[in-house]
Amino acid sequence: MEQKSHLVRNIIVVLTFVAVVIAFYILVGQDKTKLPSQLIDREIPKFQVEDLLKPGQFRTEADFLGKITLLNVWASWCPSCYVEHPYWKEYAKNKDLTLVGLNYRDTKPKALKFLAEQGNFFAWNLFDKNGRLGIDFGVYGAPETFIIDRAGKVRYRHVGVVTPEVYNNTILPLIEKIKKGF
Amino acid sequence: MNCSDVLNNAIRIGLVILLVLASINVAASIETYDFDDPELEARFQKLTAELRCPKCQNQNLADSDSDLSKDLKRIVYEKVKNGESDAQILSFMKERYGEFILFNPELNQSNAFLWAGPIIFLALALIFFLRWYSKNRVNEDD
Amino acid sequence: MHAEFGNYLLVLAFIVSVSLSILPMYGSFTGNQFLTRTAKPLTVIFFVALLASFICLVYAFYIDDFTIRYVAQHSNSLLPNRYKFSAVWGAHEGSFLLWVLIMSGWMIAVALVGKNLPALSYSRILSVLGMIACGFISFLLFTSNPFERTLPFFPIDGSDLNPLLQDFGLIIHPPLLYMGYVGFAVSFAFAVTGLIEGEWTSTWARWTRPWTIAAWSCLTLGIMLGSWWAYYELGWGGWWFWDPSENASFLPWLSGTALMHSLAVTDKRNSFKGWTLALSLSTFSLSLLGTFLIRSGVLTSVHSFTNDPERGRFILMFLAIVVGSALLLFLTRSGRVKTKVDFNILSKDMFLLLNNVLFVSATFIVLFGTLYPLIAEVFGKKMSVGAPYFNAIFPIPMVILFALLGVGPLLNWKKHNLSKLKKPLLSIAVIAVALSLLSTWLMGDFYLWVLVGLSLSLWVAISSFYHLNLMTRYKKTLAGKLKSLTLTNIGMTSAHIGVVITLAGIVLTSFYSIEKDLRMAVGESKELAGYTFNMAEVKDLRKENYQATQVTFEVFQNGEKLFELKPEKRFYLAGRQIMTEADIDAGFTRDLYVALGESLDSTGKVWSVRIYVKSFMRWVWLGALFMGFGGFIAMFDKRYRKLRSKNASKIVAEA
Repeated sequence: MEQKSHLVRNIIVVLTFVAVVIAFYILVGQDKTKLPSQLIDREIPKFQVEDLLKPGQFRTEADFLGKITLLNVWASWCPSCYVEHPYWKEYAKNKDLTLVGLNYRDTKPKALKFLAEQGNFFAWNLFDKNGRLGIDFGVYGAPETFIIDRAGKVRYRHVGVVTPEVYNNTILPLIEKIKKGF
Repeated sequence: MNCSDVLNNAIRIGLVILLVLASINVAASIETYDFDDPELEARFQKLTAELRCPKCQNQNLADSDSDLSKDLKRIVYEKVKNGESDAQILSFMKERYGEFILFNPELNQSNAFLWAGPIIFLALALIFFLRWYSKNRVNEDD
Repeated sequence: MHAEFGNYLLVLAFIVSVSLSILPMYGSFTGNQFLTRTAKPLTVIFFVALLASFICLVYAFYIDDFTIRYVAQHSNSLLPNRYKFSAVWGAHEGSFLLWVLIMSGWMIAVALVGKNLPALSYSRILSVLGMIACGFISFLLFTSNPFERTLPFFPIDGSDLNPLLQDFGLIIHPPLLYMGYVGFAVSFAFAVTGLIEGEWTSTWARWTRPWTIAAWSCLTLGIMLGSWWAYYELGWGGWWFWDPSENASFLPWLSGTALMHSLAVTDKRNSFKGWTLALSLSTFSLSLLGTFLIRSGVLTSVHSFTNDPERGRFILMFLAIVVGSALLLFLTRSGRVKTKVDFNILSKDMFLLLNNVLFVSATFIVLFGTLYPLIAEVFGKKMSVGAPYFNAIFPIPMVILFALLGVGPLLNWKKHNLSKLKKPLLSIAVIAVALSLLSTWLMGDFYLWVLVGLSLSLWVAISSFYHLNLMTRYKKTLAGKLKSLTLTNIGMTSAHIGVVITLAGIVLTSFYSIEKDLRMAVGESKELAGYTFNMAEVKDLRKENYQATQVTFEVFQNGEKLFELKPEKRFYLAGRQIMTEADIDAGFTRDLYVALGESLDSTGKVWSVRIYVKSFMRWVWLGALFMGFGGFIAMFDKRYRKLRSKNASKIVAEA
């Protein structure tokens, strides 16, 4: 009797140990620095921010309604943004998608120089000089990219460069889904 | 991978490292936040110590000098001065960055296991030990 | 040349460790005397090979050989020589070579000191250590080789050692810490051998004790140095962050503390063998777990090594094999070890066991809090568990522990008559609480935790001295009293006094320290806690590998100038990194700590400045010194030496 209960105990201990090792094994490869967005399936924050290229013209959350928007957070001080920027030229060809830039924690001359040199593929750019809008979006590092549906709800957030792989495998299927009304 | 791939990768990695290093500032940051009321100052210090810098490895806002931390600290400072409560400030942060930003996990149902786990463990350990003791105790007083 | 040589030596060490894991063990079971006796020579070769390999790497740093990737990434021609030396273990690969070297150091120590162990056990212990070393060294060779070349395109200069690590603390902190981590491998190997032989007696506990104490003392000092380094180098004035890397070192420390106490019971009373065995196995397992957590990047930590999943998986597999086999061995073999429970509630046995229950609970709390974010992540939630959590939960078992610590050492084994103790204990308690009330009153503000912490500290301290007095009551002179104490008693008292000095330091510094972020201009004065800080001068410096701005603060008290503090803002040339170098005036009752923020205007005469007045900061580390040295004293007790001089096999027969 005691032998048997010992056996059961031993098996439980060994199985637990194996489970812990497997759990660790799965966790090892994962990127620990990525944070999930708090805005998924929620409306974007309310704001009023000046347009980068049209001084005096203010944009609000209402400008995101009625279309599928890709909002890209970029800055002239962000090294990866230089890597990412040429891709926007390609992605801008997608007629289902409105590309909008959010110039984050930048100075106007530097931001304008960035666009002049790298090209401007965004329909319009928000100028978030002090980073407050970025914080409302939960931005913690540029570049970040949000996909916002017609109702102004955030559907997806990507941290880091939107490579063609991310674009084709994640963003395009999501756009199809949104178009179908999901 | 052939040789030129390796080289390309090495160059790319090197560039990234250089750019990152150029933008990193490992030193502790100190901005000044003036308070007339020492109580508000104490609250500010406590809050910035309990909020985690979202982009750093494992640092609180008080100790971190990333630009984002500075922004967030500024927000905490303004909110403390404007008379917002600790709970309001923490929930402002949580709404934007999630529970990740709270070094002090909330005492709520979903964290019940976290908070109660160790105490249950301690209690069970003591109970089991004392039960084992009384069960196995053999009296052989001389 | 040296790189290839160093690499060959690593390969040689690997082959030797494989032989060491197989030959003596096989020989010991087949009765092959020759194979059994290979344990010692193999251990010697292993150590020499690693030492030579390590020297090769040191040499590579010394001559700035940037064709070696590791050197190129972590050194620079401008780096001062002393830091070139410590840069050897400034990052993952080299520090792991140091780790393996220290492992071999422990092995050769066992080989030399343990000659009087029974011949078969001696060989088996070394063989078990060889198996562990074999895992470490294959990790080094296959995933983290420090001798890898950057050829053919090597850099002209290295990218420099992280400035945070260019510091005296880094020269000594890792070696001591690793000596602690790896040292527990010895008690692990003793336990495994005992389980294999199925005859784990109190003699085994007596053999294990000095090794465990040695490892524990190193770990204590290693952790202390880490805390001290973080305090003065990071510029945040903090000394413990409950960061995963700190917790990783704290876990084996807590478990090792339990082990030391449990070993005492097994040694003296020949009981709790199963429990002691389990602790021997789990302490080293926690060392390995810590290594895995930190070096795999599973947990984000301030001082994490570069994250490489390959390495993480390798250590994990190694950990799974080592811990898994130890677990299986324990589950199948320990059933034979039976314990007789023949002590009263009021007895040393009972209090030592309660110590164990509490230390194991404390270990669990730290482990649970550290791993909880990972558990949450498995369930799809990203969260943080930080200092506020640990500060709230960890004191619970500690308060009980310190309360018991005031009584435990005074008790006899097996049973104790309370009537003789009642009066002295009551007076000690009253004195402790009264003195704490007085000191909190003197400090000004009242905090319950300070009162509790101080009362417990005094309770244990006074009781320790009472205990010393009790043990030596028949000797008249002080010299006679001291002579009549065993080293174990002196060491134990020192460690217990040490831990309460630390406790007092922790509560006082946590509650009475003052922190101010100020804007100051040259010529301006600010007052803090009775000290006046006058910003006197701003000056630019140029040193070997950095430029700095140095600001001089004159510190006055009651109008009298005490000294100057000169914090710096440094710019390291090679890595283009900016660093804050705080300046600290350390004192017995307070530290004055000044760190520079940023220059606030273009003239460079206005700075943001952080000033701390840290009450009783030094006590935290002073206590750890007492603990560490207490351990070093205790391990030389005659009790363990006697054992060695006798014929060991006779002792086994006796027991």
